[in-house]
Amino acid sequence: MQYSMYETIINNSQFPMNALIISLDSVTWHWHNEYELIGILSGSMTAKVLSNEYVLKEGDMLLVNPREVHSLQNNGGECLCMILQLSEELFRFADTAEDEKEIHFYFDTTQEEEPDCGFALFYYRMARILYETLRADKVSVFRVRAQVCSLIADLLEFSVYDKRLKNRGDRDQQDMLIRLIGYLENHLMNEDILSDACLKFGISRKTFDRIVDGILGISAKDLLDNLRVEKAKGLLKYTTKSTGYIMDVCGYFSENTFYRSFKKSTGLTPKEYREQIQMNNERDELKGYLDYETPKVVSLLKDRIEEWENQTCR
Amino acid sequence: MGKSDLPLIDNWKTYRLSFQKQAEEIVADLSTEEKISLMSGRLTREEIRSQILNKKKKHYNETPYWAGGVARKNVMPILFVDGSRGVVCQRGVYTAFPAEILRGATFDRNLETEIGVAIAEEVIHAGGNLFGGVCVNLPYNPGWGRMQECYGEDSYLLGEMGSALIRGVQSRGVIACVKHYAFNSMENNRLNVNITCDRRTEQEVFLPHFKKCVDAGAGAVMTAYNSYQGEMCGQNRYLIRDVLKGEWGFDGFVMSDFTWGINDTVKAVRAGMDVEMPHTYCYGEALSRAVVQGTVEESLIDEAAVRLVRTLLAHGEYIQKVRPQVKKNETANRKEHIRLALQAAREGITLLENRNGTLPLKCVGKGRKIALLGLLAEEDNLGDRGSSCTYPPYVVHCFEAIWKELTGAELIIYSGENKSHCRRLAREADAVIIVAGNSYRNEGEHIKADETVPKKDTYGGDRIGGLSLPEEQLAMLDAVAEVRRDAVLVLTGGGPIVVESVREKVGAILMQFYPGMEGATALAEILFGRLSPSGRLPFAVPKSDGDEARVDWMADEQTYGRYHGYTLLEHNKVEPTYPFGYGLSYTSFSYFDLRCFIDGGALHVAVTVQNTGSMEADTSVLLFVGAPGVLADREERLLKGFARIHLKERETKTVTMECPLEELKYFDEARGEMVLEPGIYRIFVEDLQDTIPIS
Repeated sequence: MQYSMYETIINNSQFPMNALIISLDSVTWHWHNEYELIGILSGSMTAKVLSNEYVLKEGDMLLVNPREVHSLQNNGGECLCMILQLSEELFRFADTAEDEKEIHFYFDTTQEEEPDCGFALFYYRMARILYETLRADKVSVFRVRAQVCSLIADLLEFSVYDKRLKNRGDRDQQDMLIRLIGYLENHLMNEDILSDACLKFGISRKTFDRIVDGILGISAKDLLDNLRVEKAKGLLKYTTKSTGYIMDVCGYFSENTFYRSFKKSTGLTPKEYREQIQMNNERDELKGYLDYETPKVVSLLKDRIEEWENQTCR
Repeated sequence: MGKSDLPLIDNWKTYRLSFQKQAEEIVADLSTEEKISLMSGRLTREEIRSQILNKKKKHYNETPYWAGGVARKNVMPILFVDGSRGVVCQRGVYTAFPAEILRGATFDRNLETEIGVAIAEEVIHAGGNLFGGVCVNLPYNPGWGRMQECYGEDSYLLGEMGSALIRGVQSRGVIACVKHYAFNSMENNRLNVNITCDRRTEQEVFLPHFKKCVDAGAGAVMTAYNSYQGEMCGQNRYLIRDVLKGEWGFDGFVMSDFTWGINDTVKAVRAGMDVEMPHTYCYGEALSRAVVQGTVEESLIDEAAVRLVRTLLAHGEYIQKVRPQVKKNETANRKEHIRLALQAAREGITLLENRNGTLPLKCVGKGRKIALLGLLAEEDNLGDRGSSCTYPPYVVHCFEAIWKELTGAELIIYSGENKSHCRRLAREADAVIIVAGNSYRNEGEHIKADETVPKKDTYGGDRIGGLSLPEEQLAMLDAVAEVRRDAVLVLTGGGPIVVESVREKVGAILMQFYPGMEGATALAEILFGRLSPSGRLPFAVPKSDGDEARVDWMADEQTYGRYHGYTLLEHNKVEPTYPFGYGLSYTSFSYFDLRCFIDGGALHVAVTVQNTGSMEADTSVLLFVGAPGVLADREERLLKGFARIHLKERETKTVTMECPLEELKYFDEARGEMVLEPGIYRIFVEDLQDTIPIS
């Protein structure tokens, strides 16, 4: 499992978007330059976006704005998500003066800023896009584009968004955080990892804390714990390495600490976690976004689409 | 541009009349057809209509409109350039100054003259010779859609500022055309409405500023669409022949307002209408026939022709001399013109409310967040999109100018449509700025929808919805006020906006009017305290619409009374939200030592002003005079003088203002003339008051 991803949209260079369905396990802190629209088909998950936390269940949606550091976490049981990643350029107005402004959406079913037309239309559009993507016949590429353009138009027309002009400095801070996370991930076994990172990036420990707190609303220590647990989870899940080994490479220097922070985060001891995973899941996937069985998904999407269409026809 | 090498003409009338003989000689040598061709515009009806509707990818007045001219006699045609807030021609070339209503709020004659010079240089650059943008109509009710095109609701202010503009425009030889003569203070039904008012109102309220503009040497006058006392202004013999050309001795020429300004050949010529603009309908062949049939005397044609030729010769010759220099200094001039546009905005933006020192905003720098709400924050806010619409090279938007001042703080720009989101931003931001008010959509020249073009709605027109903010903007203000009451409200608009119900909900209110292409720069300077606001309202802001003079915007018959705007409020003893001349500053001024005396047929007033605060700033000193009101019912007080000064911290200056006694006269209906009432006059300057006997 990868711990943080810099996701680029690679599968469609002519029309910069990416659509996928995942069975979510967990995705740790990461960010990307695209808008990410998440729709829950089944199950429940917790999304953390900067310092905000959203608990999403079936039927919920959330739009993560570009360059916002976020993480996704399954709340137990299976959680099927529709994910749509849309390049910023798809949102550009013809007006060139808009270029420097970031369009910042407030689009999630758990908050009060409801689009004028409600959320259902967006949920339908998303299902439709995914459905067409999965059909993958000769014309679906055009249908997908048409649906994506309609979705964007609806977002711009009906949903709440503001535009932001940010200081270069704010972006720099975010870039710095991403670099810090990358460094931490690669040096988790170091005991003095935080002070090493400070040294490496020429910042004080105070600045480090301020950056992490300013963007994610947690302490650097909590961030580090989070990354360590995620790494341990991955190793427990996808390897047969011993807990002693895992503890070492994740930078836990006492068994007690390892158990305590693992249990705090997952509710299970490392051993229990490994047993459960192996019981539940025979499949070996190497991504946090798991591919899902297509026929099942297609019929699920079809149901959702028909639900909407029946409703609107009436 | 150096003026030194040009003859300075302080009296254009005298100068023009010196071409009388030459003009007579030329006219004597012209055929009747040629003389008649001098008297009309050369556009076709289709050309003008499609341009007004912006149909043929060419906007209204994209190039100067031709009228008249005789090539073989070297008499140049009229080359009409419209405006009022700058030259209308071309795209992306000429300066968009703040609308006149803001320039009225500057109370700065010198600046207005400089703007006139700048406009004239651009008119010449555009290939024009006449500037049709000296609009001095007096709004009877401030809901008039085109109030933005005039300097305010006071005749003295209109006359003074109009004259200042004319002096500037004509200093470069360009003919200044004063409009819309007269009583044009209703928009939606301007083509049909007939205005009546009593002689006294006409003489004291609606005509004096036109006379002052004529006295300042204006070379042309454009008539209004509406009728006066039952006759269209364009063919109103009383207004044109008797008053303008007769009593006032106007020597220039009169042109019709476009297309619908006249409808009767004989009536128009007899009334003294010299040019039908901008195409031929009543004149041209119809006029030739009338001359042949004898319904129009040839002497009337000669009279118009001589006026036209005389004026065009005088101004044409001067422009010839000016043109090379204008061309030569083009780049430098343009920069200077834009600087003037900025300067006007700096002087005119008016601070109306500032509780607990909300302004200037201090929350700049890293980590801070400013929320900027309202659809108008991202729009060009130049004013209406009628005949005075300008097409400048750029417009600084509110958000851009504010962003420049933020030095690291984040700027969140939001339309304000969703109330929850307004509340969220109000909670999250360190400061909230709300831009609200009007736009070309709900006030301005009335442009009717063209059924053949989809999505082109009717826009502009009178403020038939009333003087308050639109509902959705009030809702946005309320949402923010639920969270905090220290938001800064920036008002956009061409007239008073009733804010009685919102003033307690915000921390500060700034009136930015339509501040021109660089207006937002000035606004941001004021918001963040680089500059103290110094504008003063050229109108009163009433507590409610009903306090203003009653007008039925769709009426075919409308009477204008003598009392209107601040004179009506004061006459009725109705408190406004903000009186005429209201405007706050970041510093404080104290006034003392008011002295007045009569000398040389004028009232002289001196007052000493000190900047007692801690910031250098401009301020305008306004002089109001109250007549005895014994022989006749008189206004409580009327503006009769103003002066703009700059004071450093603690600096003291003495300001003197002069008001000719002529200005204090009233119209005695029994005697049919202006009369100076003897008695004790009251003098008001800010919080000071004095009296002076005048016999």
